[in-house]
Amino acid sequence: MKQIIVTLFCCLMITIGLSAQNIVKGVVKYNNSENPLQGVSILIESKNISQLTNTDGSFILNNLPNGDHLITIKKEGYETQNYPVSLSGSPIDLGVIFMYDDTLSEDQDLSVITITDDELNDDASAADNISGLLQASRDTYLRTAAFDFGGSFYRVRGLDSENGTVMVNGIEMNKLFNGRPQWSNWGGLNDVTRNQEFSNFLTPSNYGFGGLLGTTYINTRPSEQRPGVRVSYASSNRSYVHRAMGTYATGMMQDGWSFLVSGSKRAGSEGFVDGTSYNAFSLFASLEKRINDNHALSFTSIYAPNRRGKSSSNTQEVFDLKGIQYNSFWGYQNGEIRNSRIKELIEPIFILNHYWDINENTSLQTNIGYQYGQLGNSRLEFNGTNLNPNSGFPEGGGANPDPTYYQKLPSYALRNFPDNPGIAFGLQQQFLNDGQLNWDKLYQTNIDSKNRGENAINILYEDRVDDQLFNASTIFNSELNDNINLTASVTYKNLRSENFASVLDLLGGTGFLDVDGFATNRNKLIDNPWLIQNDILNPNRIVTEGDRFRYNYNILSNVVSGFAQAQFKYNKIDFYAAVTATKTDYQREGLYQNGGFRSNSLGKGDKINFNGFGGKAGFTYKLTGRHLFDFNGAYLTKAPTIRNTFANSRENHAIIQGTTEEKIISFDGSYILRTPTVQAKLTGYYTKMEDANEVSFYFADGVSATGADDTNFFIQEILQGVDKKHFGGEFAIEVKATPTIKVKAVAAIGQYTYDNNPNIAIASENFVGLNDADEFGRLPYVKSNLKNYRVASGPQRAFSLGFEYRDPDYWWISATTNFLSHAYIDVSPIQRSSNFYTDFDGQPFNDYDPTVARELLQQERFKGYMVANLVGGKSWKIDNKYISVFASINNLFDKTYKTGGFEQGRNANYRQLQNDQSLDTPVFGPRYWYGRGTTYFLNVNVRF
Amino acid sequence: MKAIKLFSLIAFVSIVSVFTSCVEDKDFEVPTPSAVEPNLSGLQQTTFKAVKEAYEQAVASGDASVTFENDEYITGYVVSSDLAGNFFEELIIQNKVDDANPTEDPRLGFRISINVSSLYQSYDFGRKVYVKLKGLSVGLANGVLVIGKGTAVDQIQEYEYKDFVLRSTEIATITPKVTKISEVAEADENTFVQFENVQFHRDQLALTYAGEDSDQFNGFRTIESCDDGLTIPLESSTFADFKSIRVNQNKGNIQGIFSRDFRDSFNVLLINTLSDVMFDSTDRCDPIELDCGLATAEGTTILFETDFETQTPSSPVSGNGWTNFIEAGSEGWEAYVQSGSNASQGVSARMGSFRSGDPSNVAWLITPEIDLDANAGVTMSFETSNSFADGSNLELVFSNDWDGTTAGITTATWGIVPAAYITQDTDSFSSWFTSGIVDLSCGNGKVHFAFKYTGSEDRANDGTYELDNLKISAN
Repeated sequence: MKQIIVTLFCCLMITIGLSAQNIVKGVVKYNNSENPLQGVSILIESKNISQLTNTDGSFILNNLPNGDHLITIKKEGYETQNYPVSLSGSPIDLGVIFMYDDTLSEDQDLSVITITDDELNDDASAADNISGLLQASRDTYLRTAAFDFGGSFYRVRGLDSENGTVMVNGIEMNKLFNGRPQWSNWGGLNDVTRNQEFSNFLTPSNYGFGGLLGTTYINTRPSEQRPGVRVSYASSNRSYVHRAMGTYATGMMQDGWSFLVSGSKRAGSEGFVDGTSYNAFSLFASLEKRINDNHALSFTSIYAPNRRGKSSSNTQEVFDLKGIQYNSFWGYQNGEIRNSRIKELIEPIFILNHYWDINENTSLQTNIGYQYGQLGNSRLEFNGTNLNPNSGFPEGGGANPDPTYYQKLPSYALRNFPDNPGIAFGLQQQFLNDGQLNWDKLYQTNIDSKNRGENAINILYEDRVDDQLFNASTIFNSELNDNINLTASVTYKNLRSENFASVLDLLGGTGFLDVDGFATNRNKLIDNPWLIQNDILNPNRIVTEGDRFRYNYNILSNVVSGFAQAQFKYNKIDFYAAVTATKTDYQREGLYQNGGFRSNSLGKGDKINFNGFGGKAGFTYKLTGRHLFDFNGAYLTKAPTIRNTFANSRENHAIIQGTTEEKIISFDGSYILRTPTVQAKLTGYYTKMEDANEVSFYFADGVSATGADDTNFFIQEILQGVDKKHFGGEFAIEVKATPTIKVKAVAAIGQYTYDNNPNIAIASENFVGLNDADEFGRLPYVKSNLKNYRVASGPQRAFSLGFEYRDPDYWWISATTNFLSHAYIDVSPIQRSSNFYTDFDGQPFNDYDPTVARELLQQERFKGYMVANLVGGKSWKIDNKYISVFASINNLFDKTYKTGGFEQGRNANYRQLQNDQSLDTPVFGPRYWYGRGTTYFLNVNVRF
Repeated sequence: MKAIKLFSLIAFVSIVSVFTSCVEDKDFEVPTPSAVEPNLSGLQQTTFKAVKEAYEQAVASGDASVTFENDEYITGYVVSSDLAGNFFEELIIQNKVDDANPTEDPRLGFRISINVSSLYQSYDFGRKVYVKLKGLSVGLANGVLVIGKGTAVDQIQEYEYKDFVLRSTEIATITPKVTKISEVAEADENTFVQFENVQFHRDQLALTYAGEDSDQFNGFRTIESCDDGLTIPLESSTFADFKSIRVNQNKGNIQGIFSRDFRDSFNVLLINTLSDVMFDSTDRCDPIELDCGLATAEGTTILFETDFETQTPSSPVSGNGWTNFIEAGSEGWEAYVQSGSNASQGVSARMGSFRSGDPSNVAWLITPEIDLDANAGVTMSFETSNSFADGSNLELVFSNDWDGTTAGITTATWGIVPAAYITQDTDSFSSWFTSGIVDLSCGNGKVHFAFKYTGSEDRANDGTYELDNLKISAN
């Protein structure tokens, strides 16, 4: 810092001493190595002038108007420097400008990256976290959202991570299955993925059309990495306990080669939540060869296997009894924690890039990516059966080993044995004293079974998705002149996704009989014996470890897209326009002939095609250099994701009826204030999304299917044609109170609601053959009255106040206090449909009272809460080594708060819900997630 | 500087240790459970008999159940299994593995009521168990002796059952008591029995075990003995895995738990799994049939005809060529007159076991001999009515080899005439139903026809049938 001030002073002297032509020039070097720095941005923001330094670190700004200007010199990873210059017709040479490592923003990045390590691994929608998308942003609001609101599952503008496009070296990483980037695929490689470009919201990116949240471009080109060795160690009690990481980069060497390798390991037997094991290591290697001035080739490989123990959502009853760190998924086995729900991700990535600088202003980047591997989510199956030799049909089954199974909790006893409180007490004591999975019992049961010559009853298996994704794209970029920049790209993707269940562990038993145990309850069985078969072609198969069973199918998909964009930059106004078109097809290929769907489960189903188009445009009007106005608007249509296209892909070919492209309209407008001491931005936005689908699976009590012999079914709930409306405002201000103290404040208020009453259909294998149901067991659509319910997308209001002190002696500290509120529970659509008031015979319930119903269907709003975070760091330079220490404490005051939750669809109708809600402790009350209590993260970094 | 070097060293060591450390989340050792006999020291062993006697004493002194307060236990063997879902939240235990020495050491059984499903996972068939009685009660529920909690013998709960029912390492081979439907008695309740040479009743062969629309909670299917024709219902849960399986079409042996139905109205047999139905012979013992269907018209030659008007009301049907025979019990076919909503047709004949006081009622009303060879186009018609037939049964049967003596009735071969409609329990009690014109022309030889009634004093089987206007004619 002292050095900067000295440099600044020198420059001012130079400015005063010179006059003639309005030229500013200089050479930028890295203070550590004194090597020239290429690609540093030299900006005069008020005049919209920018330039990058050449390979020798030099720059020249020509034809500048007379007057006072602020020249900003910045590059990712370095401290930004500002040089005020006063021009009056004479050239100015700023001489050698040294860039210093920006330890502060690096440390801040670290904390954001840590959040992405922590949170982005859960499948539950409520746990979707967008922090990773925003880490490269310099926007005060977005950084606050990423870092300070990240632990609350705050979502900017209420948008899921599928609205942010993530690219690694030109290859889009969003999954076709759900549109979300799978962060774990490159987790633990923070050193090499730090080089990111972020275009927020609709603002144009140089790489693609992007999503509503913007585009994150991760660049791991070895030639653009800072040479050196970096070793770090981190410790935390959030998710992993230890992390060790090492990176070596050669930078561009004399012979045109550059290499980059990195590796890390993250491990912990449990994080903040009990039993959440963490086991990940990551390897990265890339090389690049600059062939000549115009061509460079680069090859990147990433291998980051990751195994995480998941945590359960729980009812309030469970949290009250066991605390917010409780997790029902684990138990001790031989004295060690074993989690039954492990998510394992092994999807190596290989990318080949060709960088072609056609001329000084035009480039073409061609990318080929291949990714393959497996994603597995394990769970227990406890309903193993045996084939009765007499009948040829299965007999057996078991009891749910989940310690929070509703029949094992006090609320169940209070509901069913209200006159005998001793039972509730007994269950409560049992849950308090034990309350974890009993692996020994699972084994014992299987061993007993084996001794009787019978099959395993309990097994651990995983739902697997084995993808092979081929990806090719080419991105064209040309600066036609100082004012116009053109970008265009073409992309092709081909996905083959194998989906199946696979036996992981027979838990001491012999084989497992692969039949549909629930089908034995069907009266039709007698004339349709195949109903119990998961695969009619291989009936009554005994499966063992490693075997596929239950379901087995492929999803095949092709996506072709094109994109073109023009950006114009002038003194008073910048503007842009972009268009995109995408053709998507999906097709299911069944490898099993499912007993419930004999004629529509095997072989290839119909191929479904979607055509997406989009356009966006916007402008920035610069009233003066200090007051700017920015407006953006977009309209696009896009294919639904695979997840939201197939109704029940494990069993049949069914495509959601009425599926069509989703339609999105979005616009925003901002006022931006930039003074040397104050930076502020005020934004309003409006987004409407139409015709989306949502599919979910659960066990429901009280389903009215006329003609069915029961009202309890495992169902698919298909929501079609969902419209949502998100609008709100954002305000952020950052004041540089003194050269060392910065104060910032952020406020974001949004309202995210359902904007129509979408169609809802419930489906079950058991409905096939009923009058109302179709061949896929779907009942006809009815309406779900969701309009004006809030979308469960994290807190809809968030406020933050914080300061940052940066001491010239290379240490800094930052503290924020944040208030988040208006987070809502995810409502159950089936409870808002006609099923809610329909009795078994299709007539309304006799005792249906709309006033009571209104009360029952009131959406829960979680309490607002205050969370304080503290972050600090210090760095030293010793010889040529940099050592930095960074620590953060989140939720300083150990505040307890809910981050999300959902109503259980189990109480599907009025009577069920009323009976349950009338209890002090409902048996099927909503399930919640809680935020973490006080946690720390500590990192030590050595660089040389 | 020294501090930095030290610091770097520490950092290096910790990094190396992280890389080499391992969080075990995948390859777990299989737990090796070492089964041990439960420790019963300090407890007094008692017998099923003593427990049953304690219950009987309590009943004698006006209590519904007995609660045990001493540290004592009984040793038993599990004979039920909820593997197939036919038993639910209960264990049936008996005191012995077989029926050896029945007079000195009779078999006894209890039902233990436990609020836990899939009990077979711990208490499998044949498992020796010790039941600690202190704090438990024995009482009567659904007609059988039950061990449970409190005076109402409520369920033992999930959090405590392991403290009451301790399992041994021993799994015994259970040998069922081979008995007969006619002999099985209250003492056999809650025990494992076997009936031999039985089959499902021919009328129910199209049915599933418990998957029909009319099956509520349980399905009842009739098992009949090929030796004596006696029957017992097989009770199966509508939650059983085999409920939608068609009943076994063969004959053979069946084993299961002898019990009472939910309302304690009649005896039932419950199987654990379908393997208990060991019907391995295709040679069913169905009666021979004389089935020529129905004819369109009756012949003009009357071979035998009666409207019972000449009979004396309230007296046994006699004369006119009839043979009126009581095979079992005290009731026989009698003439009667009744008016009102359940009226007779002048004088009619009836047979019923209502309040008979007999454990079994079998009564025959046999026609004179009809020569089917000498006559062409023989047909028969009659009318029946019922008064709460319940589970009692009226059949039209025939014989070619009956010698005409009452002693010979039970030894003769009797076949059935299925084409004749006989009123059902579900028919209105006030109406008379015609049999239709039953074609007998495909039969041959000299034949006797008989109306055979089967029932008992049991409320479920104590129905009454009425008969009138019988006519046998030829061309």
